[in-house]
Amino acid sequence: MNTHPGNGKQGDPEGIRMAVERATEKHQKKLEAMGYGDEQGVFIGNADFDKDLDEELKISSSNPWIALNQMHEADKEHSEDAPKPTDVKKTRIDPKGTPTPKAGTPEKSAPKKETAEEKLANINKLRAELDALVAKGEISREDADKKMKEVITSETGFTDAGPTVKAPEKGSATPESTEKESAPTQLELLTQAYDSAFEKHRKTKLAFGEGNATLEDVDAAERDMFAKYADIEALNNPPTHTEGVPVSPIETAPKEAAPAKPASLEDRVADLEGRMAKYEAELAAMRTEADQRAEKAGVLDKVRSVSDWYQSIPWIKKVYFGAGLGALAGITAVSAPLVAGAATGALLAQRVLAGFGTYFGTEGMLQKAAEKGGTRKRTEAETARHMAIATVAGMLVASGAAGHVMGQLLHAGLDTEVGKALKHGAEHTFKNTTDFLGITDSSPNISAAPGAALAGVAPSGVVIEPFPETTSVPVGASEFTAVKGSTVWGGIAEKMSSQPGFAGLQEGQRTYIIDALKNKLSTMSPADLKLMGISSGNIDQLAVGDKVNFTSLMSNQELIQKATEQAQALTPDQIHNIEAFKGGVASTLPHEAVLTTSQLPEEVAAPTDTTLRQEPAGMTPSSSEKPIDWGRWNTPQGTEATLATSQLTDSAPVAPSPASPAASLEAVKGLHSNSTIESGNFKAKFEYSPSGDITKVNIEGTSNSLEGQKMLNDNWRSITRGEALAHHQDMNMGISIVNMNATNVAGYEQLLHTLEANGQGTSPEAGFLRETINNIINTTEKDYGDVFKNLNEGASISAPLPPSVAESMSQTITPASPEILAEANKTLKVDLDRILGKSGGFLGFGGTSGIETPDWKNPATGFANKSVEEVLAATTRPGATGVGIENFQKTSDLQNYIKSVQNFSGRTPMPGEKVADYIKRGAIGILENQKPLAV
Amino acid sequence: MNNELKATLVKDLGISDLPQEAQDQILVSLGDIILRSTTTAIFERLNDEQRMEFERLTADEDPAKIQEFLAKTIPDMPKLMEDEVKKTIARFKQADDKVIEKEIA
Repeated sequence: MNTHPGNGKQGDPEGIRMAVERATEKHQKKLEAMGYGDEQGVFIGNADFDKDLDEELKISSSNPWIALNQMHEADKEHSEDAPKPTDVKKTRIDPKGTPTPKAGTPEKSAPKKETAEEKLANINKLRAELDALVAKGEISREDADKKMKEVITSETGFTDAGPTVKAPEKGSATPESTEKESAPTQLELLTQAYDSAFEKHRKTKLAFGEGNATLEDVDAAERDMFAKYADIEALNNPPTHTEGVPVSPIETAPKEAAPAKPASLEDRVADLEGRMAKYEAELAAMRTEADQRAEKAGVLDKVRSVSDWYQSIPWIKKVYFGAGLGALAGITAVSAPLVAGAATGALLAQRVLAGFGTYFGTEGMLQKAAEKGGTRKRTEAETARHMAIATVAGMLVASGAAGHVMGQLLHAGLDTEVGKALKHGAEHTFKNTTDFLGITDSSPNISAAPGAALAGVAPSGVVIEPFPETTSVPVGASEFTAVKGSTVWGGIAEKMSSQPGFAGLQEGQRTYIIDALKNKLSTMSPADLKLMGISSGNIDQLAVGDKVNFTSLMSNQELIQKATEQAQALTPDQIHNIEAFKGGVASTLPHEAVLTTSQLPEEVAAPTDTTLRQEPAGMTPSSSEKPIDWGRWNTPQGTEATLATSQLTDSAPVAPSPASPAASLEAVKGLHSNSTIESGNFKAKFEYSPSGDITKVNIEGTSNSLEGQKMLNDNWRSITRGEALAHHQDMNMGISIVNMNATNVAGYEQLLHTLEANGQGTSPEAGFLRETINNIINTTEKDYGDVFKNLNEGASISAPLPPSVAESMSQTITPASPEILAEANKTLKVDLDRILGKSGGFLGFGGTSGIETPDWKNPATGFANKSVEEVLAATTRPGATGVGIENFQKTSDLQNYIKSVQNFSGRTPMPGEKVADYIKRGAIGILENQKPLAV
Repeated sequence: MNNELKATLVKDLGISDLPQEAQDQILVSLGDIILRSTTTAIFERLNDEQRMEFERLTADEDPAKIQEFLAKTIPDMPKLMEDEVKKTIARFKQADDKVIEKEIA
């Protein structure tokens, strides 16, 4: 809605932001071409996105903002602070690229024809022109990038290979010996580059990953990418010294010195690789020693199985585990802040060990069953299959996903192998995690109490009071009995309020955490909710007497930790906004967000209270006094839409869109003091001052964040990320905040439309809603740029889908939990690695990515662009060795795999459904129904 | 993860001058080795009869019984784990010294 904030800015953050935006654009197009929505193509998307961003950052690095700014600074020194003839000094670049004056050397006197500022302006102008041409389709992005590179190289002397160091200039000073001492070593430079590159990579993946899966499986390909990033960093911070002599890209080398020769990145990589190779050799020797010991003990097979399981858990968890071990060994208990850290690390280690126990127990259980009490040996195939099942169980326990699955297991019965395995694992997690293997006693910092993570994520130097050490969460302590007026949100708040440390957070932070937990429940199925004790199966409908068991929720340390970290990362403004919008705005999950109240102060309420209802066309209100519950507002797809329809009475026709302005609103005759507008479980209540002015509107109920996203520009994510980057804010946080604010706007817009449709568009209430909407938009865009569409130009709230479409959508990828989606994404990756990749480790982990092969990606014949129907119908000539669908073996393998997915998931391909979509949907079905996927 | 925690461990291991990615790789490798050695250590403490009992219990889906069994047969399980961690870290430090020596040479 506002002017795009990114244009015309200078500096490195802007360069990165633009690179991210361009990469995002490419990424989105690719995902769309592959049939993904941007929320769904997480795994594939990241692989491609990394490449795109890599390219774009190279362009940005070739467009060395830092170097240009350095030039700019140097120009300023010449023009603004021009030294007196006797005030000799020289600009040099330190390892971080910051110009620093050095006394005692003669100043370069040759005037420049063009200042750095002018060059920067020219480059900015050119980039804008090229972007405009690309946008018009007059030139390709590749051509634009090529042109930019040419100009940048011409202007700055920078190339992809590094800076062009100019020849020595007569009159330059001889290098000082002291400079040699201060110059960084090659290893230091490379270390800095690697660290910076890895951090950038990590943050970028976090920002775009929408989940933990993006941090997983940092395999060889990703390590290669790190090296590329390191190269980029080296370009941004070019070696500025030769033989220890710092030089500037715009300075000349000393007169008497040999021609400047930047340190070879290859040499530095070789040094590092050599050292790492030695470490790896030593670690391999240690592994061999461990195996020899196991062999001697007669348990080598068990030890290797455990190791296989460990290798299969996400990379980042393995790293945490390693650090958690340090806590176990007592290495880290050296300072107060580290006590908190040790608790976090050990907590994670504990979970990994619980997963280890799950694996071990599960595998043993399956072995025992297969061998029928020792009457036969299990086959090799059975062993492999059991290991796979046990691994899945171990992973789910370790990842914390077993909690969700457990509920469904209880509901669906435990008649499958994976079901039994998961039950085994889930019991470990929720009853005996800290007891298992008895590690609790050894580490006083370990606590599995809910919210233990809170103690572990305190800002450095601040230790929130740690939660008491307990070994499990007593069920009674997490049970909530509903009374009249109770809500799930309130129940969670009540349970969290008793957690030490929680009360010490600010109200906005607490609200954020509670809402995150509540949103977690909103992703659960009605069956799971019923198992928790919510008799209606709807988190918005608690019945008096419902005994809600929050044990699984309160035991989800990862969820609590993540929410707490995000809450603690909120800025004061963001906390203020949340507190101002009290009522639960802090939606961090994509499915639900809570509409909030306005920020106006509370005033004396007028006595009357007229309820306005928006009723479906053709329906007769069953009672003029009691509003009919028409189900959820804005539930456009899947089970929610079905649920809404099913709640209609027999006499009621199919409910039209409650969002439709044309819907009748018989009760609206005029708006009164304390007017209330109600639709389904969504209610807006206006409050008035004695003089009749509106002072406040309270909104209760839930709104779907998908509706909110319709309020946003298509590229709102890249804009938000760019702004967050530029202002050194957390990008994930920005995405969450924009998302939730948009959801709120959608809700207010909905109310506004209702009023407008009933002739109340010019009422004070409508005006108040418009003002509230504008306030939210302005506040949001102030922090995160032009993210909202112009609501007067096309943004609209769509109606719920017709039942037939909703039914088909219910089969699309709408997993009940992010964990399930992450597992489905992993299934897709692992299985495509196995079918199309060149090799694979245990269960395919660590293998060459199948989605990077031409068999998958080739635009004409790659499977990525093929529908399931096309693949199944393919009659590739036997023995054909073409690419993708023209390769007989690959096609046959994929056909067999698709059939297996269908067999095990029970889900049939939809017309035109792409292969990847179907595999993910099938995997979700398998995970949700505990049907083992085996091919 | 608390960066200070990892940084302290990394420093203790003597690998703080390596890039973060390399540090992580080493931590992950050490975790693998520790799991192997811990698993072996558990079984080393069990006689044949106890091993069979342990395997039977793990097949019975009853973690409480497993815990009870381990507490009875290996009452110092926490110390066992701690010892294995310490031994592995000490072993790595030896290796680290060798790598550094090679670098110097």
